Amino acid sequence: MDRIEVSNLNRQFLFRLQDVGKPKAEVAAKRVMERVSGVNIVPHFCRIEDKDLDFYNDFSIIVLGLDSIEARSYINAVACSFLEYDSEENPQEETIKPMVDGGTEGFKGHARVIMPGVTPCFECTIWLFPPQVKFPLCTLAETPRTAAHCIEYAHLIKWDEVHSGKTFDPDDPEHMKWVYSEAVKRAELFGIPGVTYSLTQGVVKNIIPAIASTNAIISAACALETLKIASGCSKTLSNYLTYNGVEGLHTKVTEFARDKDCLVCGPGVLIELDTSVTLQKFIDLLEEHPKLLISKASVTHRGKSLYMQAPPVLEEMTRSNLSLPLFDIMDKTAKDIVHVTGTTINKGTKTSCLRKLRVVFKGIDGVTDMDTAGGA
Amino acid sequence: MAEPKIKYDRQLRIWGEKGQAALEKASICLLNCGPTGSETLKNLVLGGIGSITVIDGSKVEVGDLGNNFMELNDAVKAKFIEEYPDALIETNPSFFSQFTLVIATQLGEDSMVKLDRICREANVKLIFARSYGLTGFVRISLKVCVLTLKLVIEMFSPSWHSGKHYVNLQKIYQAKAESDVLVIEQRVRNILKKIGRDPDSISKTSIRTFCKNARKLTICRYRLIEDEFNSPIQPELQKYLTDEDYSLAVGFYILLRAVDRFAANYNSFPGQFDGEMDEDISRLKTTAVGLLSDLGCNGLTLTEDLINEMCRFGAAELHAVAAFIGGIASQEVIKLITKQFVPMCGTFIFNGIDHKSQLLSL
Ligand SMILES: [Zn+2]
Repeated sequence: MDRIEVSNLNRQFLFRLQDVGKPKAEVAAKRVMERVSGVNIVPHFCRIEDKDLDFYNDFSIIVLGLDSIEARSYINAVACSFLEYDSEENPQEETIKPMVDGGTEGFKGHARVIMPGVTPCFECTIWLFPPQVKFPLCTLAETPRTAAHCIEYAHLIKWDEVHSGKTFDPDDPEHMKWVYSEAVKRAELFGIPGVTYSLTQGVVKNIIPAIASTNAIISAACALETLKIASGCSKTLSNYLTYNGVEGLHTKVTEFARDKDCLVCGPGVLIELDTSVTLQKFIDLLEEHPKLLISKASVTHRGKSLYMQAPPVLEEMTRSNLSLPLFDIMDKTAKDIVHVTGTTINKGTKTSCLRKLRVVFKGIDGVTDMDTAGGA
Repeated sequence: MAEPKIKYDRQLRIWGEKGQAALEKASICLLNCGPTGSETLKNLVLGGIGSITVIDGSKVEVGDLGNNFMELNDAVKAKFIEEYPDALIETNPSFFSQFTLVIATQLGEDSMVKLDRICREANVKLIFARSYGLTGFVRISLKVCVLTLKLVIEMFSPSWHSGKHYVNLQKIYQAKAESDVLVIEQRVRNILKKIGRDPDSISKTSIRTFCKNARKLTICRYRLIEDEFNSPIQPELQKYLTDEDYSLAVGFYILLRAVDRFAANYNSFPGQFDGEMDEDISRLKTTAVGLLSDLGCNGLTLTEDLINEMCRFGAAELHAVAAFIGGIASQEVIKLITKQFVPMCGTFIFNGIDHKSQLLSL
């Protein structure tokens, strides 16, 4: 959903100064089609969460040029949701949706290939992306040592002291200038050098430095892996490449392992239900389930919307299903995969999430009795 | 025209105004503007390199590229010359002395050796880049590169909890640093006088910057290409040939050189033409064995698989590989020009099969 900014132009070579403000997807599609004949690119200027599962299922490979952990997590869950396992718990090849992911920061970057069910998914190795370390408040308040400490003091402490109730807006230049001048005062008081307006913006807005060459290296690796997966012309990266050019040149391939208990790329959380459980009751249950904690759930089964929270038209169309037994609206299937989207709480913040569930109805064809009671 | 401070904001945060000024002052010569050359150039033009001169023998490339590149960044001065680089190296070696740095892409061994000598003599920085099927290499060549690095050094661990003491200590450090600068300055002036140069030809600012970064002073040295080709460092070569982590990379290194010998003998690259594959495979194998024996590795052979793979490449310059190689090359150009980050040492061998690329110090 990004629009082109002037500060993109030092590396995003499909964009020109006259494109500033326009949707990136649209301009990029147009530029590539002008240059390369015979290629067809359909731009979609929207949030990745706005597209339904069927949309993503139409593609053979999903390539991620995303800039946040949340967005990666979401698309990863989408791609993994298509994955199905056979009776021996092996992934079924035709349901594997490969993903190619890349990211950069300054002189560093990574590229990875994810084959859901075969190689670790994004969630299996989520520990690779630890949450951003913020400075302890006591350091900011009492013992600042760096320019960044002074800036965060002005931004996180001083702002609230002076502007009671008014929220700081990082896109308001007046707000930014105020934080800058307070940070300068703070720095002078403690004899700390290095506070500049540019650094203030960088610290407050958490700006990630970026250059054309690192992006070229990482996107080339992603393009090459995508071409190899599509054509089968060579084996692929297995499964995580890092590049670091700060001191000399270091590239390294690490073969990470899957998390056998991963909720996202595993066979799906098993939910056993009586055939009488209504869709409404099922949705309530998702909110309480300790592994899921999904609120405002929308439910789909084999591409069919059972209940949709939005848009209003769809909500109205599917509302009558809520009072019906889930077993009935799933065409009386004894066990099957159901997809649920909604919001969950992740480290204190609400995030969009998608989960694949294995729903099994008790007492049908004796399936569950055998499965669950077998070992007892 | 966009405000440079905003346009370059994301990179100014890395190399600062000083690094940017160095880039904007640099004059770059690019030899051959195929996929590898143009991908290298693209990254430099976007970053605001001062001026580029492109030498390419094919009319189409030169005509096409002019417009495409200048659209990327109107602040960059560009010149396109239609001429074969090999011929230019042969007939007009002094041409290269006008540049800060030369980027030579897709050159054969003979021209590499000649250009290397020309650039060393003229004190012009040189970087080679080549893409070949799913492999390729990048190699820097210059006498010596001395860097004073820009680094943010956290002097104390976060547990250091008293701001006042910290600031006092910092003042003591500053005073000591200042007296060190005076001592070094005195020595510099004496040395300059002794060697018959103006004692004030090195400014106090330069000396201060040097002292400030002395702890992170780095020196990179690069062998002449000719020396590496004729007598690679034996212990390193033996190590690579027997180390599993290096086996593919060193295999590609040998084969990238073998294909040039092959081309010199047979006037085409192995696998370049259909119908000659089987013959080319055995010819390339013989060429590689011969090369290995010239390098002092008698009796060693490369795997059939690798030789077949090299023939399958048929000297193709794949765009995605060219983009990777060009990305690495432009990154090193930036490091050589901004002089704040350590450039790579040795020869980078790209392995596009499983990405287990390696740096070889030969
Ligand atoms: Zn997983």
